Amino acid sequence: MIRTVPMMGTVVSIQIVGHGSSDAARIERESAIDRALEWFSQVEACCTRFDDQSELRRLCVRVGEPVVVSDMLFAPLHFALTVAAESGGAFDPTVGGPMEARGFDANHRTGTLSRSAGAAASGASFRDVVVDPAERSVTILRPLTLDLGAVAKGLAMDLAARELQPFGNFAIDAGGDLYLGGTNAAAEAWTAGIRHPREERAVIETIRLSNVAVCTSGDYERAGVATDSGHHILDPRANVVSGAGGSSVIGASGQAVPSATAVASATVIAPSAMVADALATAAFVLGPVAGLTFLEQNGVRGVMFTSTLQRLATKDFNMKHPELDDAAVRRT
Amino acid sequence: MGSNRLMAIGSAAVIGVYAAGFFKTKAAADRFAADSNVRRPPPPSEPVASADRTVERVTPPAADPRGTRIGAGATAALPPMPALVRADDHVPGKPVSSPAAAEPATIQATVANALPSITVAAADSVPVVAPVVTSPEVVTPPPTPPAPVQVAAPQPIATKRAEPDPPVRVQAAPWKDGTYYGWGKSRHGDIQAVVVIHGGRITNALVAQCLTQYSCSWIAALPPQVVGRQSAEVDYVSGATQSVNAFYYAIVEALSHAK
Repeated sequence: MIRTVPMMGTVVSIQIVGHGSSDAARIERESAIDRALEWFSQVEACCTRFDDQSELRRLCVRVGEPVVVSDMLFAPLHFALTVAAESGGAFDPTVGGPMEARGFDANHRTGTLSRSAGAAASGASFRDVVVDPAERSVTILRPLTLDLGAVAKGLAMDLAARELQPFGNFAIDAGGDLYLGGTNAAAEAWTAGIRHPREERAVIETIRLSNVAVCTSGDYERAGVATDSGHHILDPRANVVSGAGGSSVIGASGQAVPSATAVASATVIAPSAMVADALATAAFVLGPVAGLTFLEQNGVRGVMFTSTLQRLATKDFNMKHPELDDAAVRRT
Repeated sequence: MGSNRLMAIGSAAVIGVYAAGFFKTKAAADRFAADSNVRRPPPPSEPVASADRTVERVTPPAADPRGTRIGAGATAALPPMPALVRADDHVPGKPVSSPAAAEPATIQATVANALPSITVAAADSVPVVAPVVTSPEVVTPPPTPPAPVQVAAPQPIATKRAEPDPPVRVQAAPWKDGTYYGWGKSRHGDIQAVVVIHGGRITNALVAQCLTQYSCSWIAALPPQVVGRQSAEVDYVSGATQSVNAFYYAIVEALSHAK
C-alpha cells in the first residue's frame, strides 16, 4: 500500500509493505498512514517560514525577549542550532533572511510570496538565537528569519517513521529524502539509488539499507526557482551560494581533491532523517574535504560527489552495512 | 566534538516531540474513529476499550505470512525510543491530567489488567501515567466505550469479535470526489497531472500530459508511486527532488480544484 500526497513543499510518499490482506489490515494501514501524514501537517504548520501565522514566524517577530515555545518548535530549533555550532556555522537556521533576499520566498505549496520582518536583516547568525532547554524558551537577539526547512522535514519523517514502526517494513519518501524501515516486498533490504547530480534521470550509485534514513543535498535542488544563478543551499558564513569550500588538497580519506572543487551532492545515512538531512546540508556547504571530515566526526556514513563527479566517501561507507544483518535476521 | 552528540540530540528531539505530542495526530485519528463509529456499532461488552490497543499492538495478524512484523525486531537499528508512549497520549483531552484526580490503586489495577504486556514500558517511558487512566465510567464496563479511547485504537482490528469486516471506508477529507487536472512547471517543460479523489482521498495520481524536453516515459513511471521505483533497479532514489517538483505543483493545482 502506497499513499502519496503533496506536503511540505514536496511530494511525500508512504509505503507499508505487506502486513496482511484483510480489510481489517488494510484499515489499520490506512489509519497508520493517516497518522504518519498528520505529523507532516503538524510539523509544517508549526515550523514553516512561509506562513506568517506559523509558530516559527510568530517567534521571529519577538526580538530581545525569551519566548516559551512548543516542543515541536523547540526540539528542531535546538537541534539545528547545535548542528550550526558544531559545523562552525556551515549549517545555520538563521539563513532564512538571506534566502528571502535571494528570492526563495515563495510558498512552494501555494506560490504566494511571503516576506518576513527579518528579511532585510543581514549579518545575523545562529549565535543570535539563544535557547534555554530548561525553560523551553528561545531568545532572538536581533531581527532575523529562521528557516528550519531541512530539519523540520527530517523531524516529520522521523515522527512518521515512529508512527509506522509497528509495521516493521515501510518506506517514507519526502522529495528524495528517504526513511526505509525493515525490508521491501521481496523481504530484502531496501535498495536506494543516489540520484546522479548531473543527470536528472540517472542513479549514480545504489546502496542497500534497512531502518535508516538517507538524505541528499544537491546543487540541483530547486535550481531555477529563484534566480538563475543559485541553487537553494546557501553558505551562511559568506552568504554566497555554497559548494566551493575546502582548502586542503588531500581529503579525510586520503583522496586528492582540487581545492576549489565544489560539491555537487552530499548523501548521508543516519538512523534519523533529521540528523541525515542537516548533516548532508552542512557537508554540502563545508565542501568536499571539510564536509567529509565533518561527517566522520559525527559518526554518520556519507558519500559526496564533486562537480567533476569525483567520489568521496566516509571510511565506513563501503563496509558491510550493519543494518543488512538486521534485515537478514528478520528473514530467517 | 563527541562523535555521537548530534545523533543523541537528534534522537532525543524526536522522542521528545513524539512523546509530548501524539495528540497532535489526533485529528487524523479522530477522523478515522468517527468513520469507524459510523461503520459499525461499538462492541457492546468490551470491558476496557484500551485493552484493544494492547491486543492490536502485540498480536500479529494471523493472516500475515510473515507474522512477526508488528513489534519484534522492527526497531533494531533505530535509536532507542519509548515504544508505547502513544497509547497514553492518545487519550484526547487528558494529556496531562493528574493522577490525583482518580484513585491510584484503581488506576494501577486498570492499567495492569488492560495492558498486560506493555505496562512496564509505558511506565518507564511516560512520566505521567494519568493520560491512560480511564475515567470511572470506563473502569465500569460501559455499554458504549467512550469515544476518546476509540480514537486511539484502530478499533476494527483490535476487536476480536468475529464480525464480517466492513467494506473499507476512508476518512472524511477536505477534497471532493472527482477527477481533477493541474499543471506543474519545471525547467524542462510542463507536466499536467490528473488526480482522482475517491472517498475524499487521493486514489490515483497520473501524468496526463508531459511537455518536457525529455521523453515522457520516465516520468510516466513516477505516479502513482511518484518517486518509488523510478527505475527497475532501485526501490527509491535519494535526492530526486527535481524529478518530482513539477509533478508536485501539478498535483497541488489539481487538488486546489477539488476543494
